[in-house]
Amino acid sequence: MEARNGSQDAFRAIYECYGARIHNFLYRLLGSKSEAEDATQQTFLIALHRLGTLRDPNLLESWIYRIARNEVYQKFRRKEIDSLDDDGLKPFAEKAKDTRLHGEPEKALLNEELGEALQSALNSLPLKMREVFILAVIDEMSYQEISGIVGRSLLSVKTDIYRARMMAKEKLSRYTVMNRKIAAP
Amino acid sequence: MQHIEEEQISAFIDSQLSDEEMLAVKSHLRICSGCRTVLEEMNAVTRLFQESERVAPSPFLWNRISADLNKKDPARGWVAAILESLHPYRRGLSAAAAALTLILSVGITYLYQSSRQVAERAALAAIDQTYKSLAAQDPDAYNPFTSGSLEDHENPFSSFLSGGRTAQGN
Repeated sequence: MEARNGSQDAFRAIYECYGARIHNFLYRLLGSKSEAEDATQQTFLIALHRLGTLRDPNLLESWIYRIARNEVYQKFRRKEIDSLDDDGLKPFAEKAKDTRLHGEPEKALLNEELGEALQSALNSLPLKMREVFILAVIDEMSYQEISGIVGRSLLSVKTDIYRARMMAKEKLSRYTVMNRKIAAP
Repeated sequence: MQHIEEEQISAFIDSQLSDEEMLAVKSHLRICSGCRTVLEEMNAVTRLFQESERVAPSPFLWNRISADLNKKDPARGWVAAILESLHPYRRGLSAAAAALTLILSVGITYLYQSSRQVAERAALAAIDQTYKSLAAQDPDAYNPFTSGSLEDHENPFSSFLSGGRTAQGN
């Protein structure tokens, strides 16, 4: 209610509640930290301006996700995004560098390589599959919620998540074998 | 042995099956190593993504959003202020606008039809007046019973004029 009346503190509270998740979703979708920040900024500007039009406050999170998703599609339509930027991999590289400095070079290299492989696997998925896969697997949303966000049927969402999983499995088979070897007694 | 559809296994991993379906899948997995292998492979990929780093936004991103929120479009100015002040009453205003539109539509239609009727009556009265004035000047020329403007066979009153014969000439 306070947010609908334009309270800055309330707006900030909404951002702090959902900002990190939305940013991570956009980063995984776009593959670039700079693009993700731009899209996150635009998403919250739109959401906070239009908060008065939201009828059910319980749907706030899904509503913000829908705005974020639409913002990505707008960027693709305006051809503001061509491909994965190198700086999209930097967060993982930075993290790996810190780990190396603390004397864990092998772990650092593995983290860096895995991070790149994960994002590369996501980038190889068609956008329609990528978005539902991220929402289901990384954001752990229900298929019903995902269906509401992307505006597709439950069956379509379920099928695309499965297909995305299988494609990612092919791309990441080397890492999943390693995982299983580590996990086995 | 019939295997479970891989799509079902995928939904099972996401806990998105009904209770009945979950039980059915769990029962099958207990006895089918092939499906268990598929499950393990899908689970392995899922874990990789779920355990991946969450990429946080810059700590200054809120400052940029806040600055943009505070910007006002000078062209909107007082118009925006009025519209924003009316926003809480939008439903009532919409209903009032719809009612007003309906009343105006009915009113305009009634006035239009009334004015047409008035115009038609005026036109007929003018024709009547013209006819009367012409008839006053030349009664025979404008007498529908005696004027030569109609041929006999066209004149419905020709039988009266010719002494009992019918209009068809019998």
